[in-house]
Amino acid sequence: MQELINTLKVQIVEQLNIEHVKAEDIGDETPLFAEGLGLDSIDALELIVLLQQKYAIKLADASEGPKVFYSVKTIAEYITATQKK
Amino acid sequence: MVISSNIATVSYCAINSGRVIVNGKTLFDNQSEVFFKSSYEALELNYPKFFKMDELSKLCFLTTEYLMLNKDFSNTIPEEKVIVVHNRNSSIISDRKFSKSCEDVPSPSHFVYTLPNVMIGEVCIRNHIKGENHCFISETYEHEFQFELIKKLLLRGNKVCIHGWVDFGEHGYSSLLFLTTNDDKNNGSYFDHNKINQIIEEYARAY
Repeated sequence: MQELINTLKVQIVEQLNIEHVKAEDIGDETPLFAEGLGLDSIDALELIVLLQQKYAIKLADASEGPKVFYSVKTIAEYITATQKK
Repeated sequence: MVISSNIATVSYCAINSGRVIVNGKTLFDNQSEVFFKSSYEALELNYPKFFKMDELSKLCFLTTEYLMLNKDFSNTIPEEKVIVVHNRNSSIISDRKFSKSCEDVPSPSHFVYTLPNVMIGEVCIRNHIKGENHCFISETYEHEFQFELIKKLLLRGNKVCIHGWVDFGEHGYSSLLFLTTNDDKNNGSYFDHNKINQIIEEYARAY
């Protein structure tokens, strides 16, 4: 799980063009939106694209978005759970 | 240039080939491929959104930032600040990037920059501009038309206008933005008609 979390951090920095943030500085459980990393709605769409491109996962239910994309750890948990199905 | 009693072009900024020129002085010079990033860092700003912008918006943003150095229009009503920009290549770089991404999964972050007037939006957000804004596409910088429009906008009661040329094409980039104000406190410091034409001739290139 920790390896996936670390990989995701690097992929998020690249995909979202947040050059001012170092991957290693993102906390596993730091909120990605609002008071955390401050991501916006376009970033949310880019995270969906990231899941699709890198992990072949399509978010089945859009209402799950806020829960899945809460932090890097929740994304990793979602990927792991989906790939086990 | 003095357009009427209180209306005058008081400042300009040009960015060409890795060089930032403000009112004739070179403020930053870096010919490397990381020019945008390094010239942003030289300003010591904390504006993370910059890194997400496309090249055209970065160019417009940086030109405006250097143009507005040591200028303070925070007391001007946002609705009385206007912006008018001409360019030639529209948003072609982002258009092509988005088109390329559609071969796989369409990129939302490329899509949002597939209109040239988005660069104006970025500048408006940063500088609290809520007045009229116009983005024109033309082969060359139609400055006579633009100055005539600026005159009308300022005579209508607007106080500050950022205007000029911002172009980013496949073969290069160039920007030239002027600051024209309707303010009797400009202390007579302005660029005359001949100087303006000379500046345009030198910096407003199409790529």
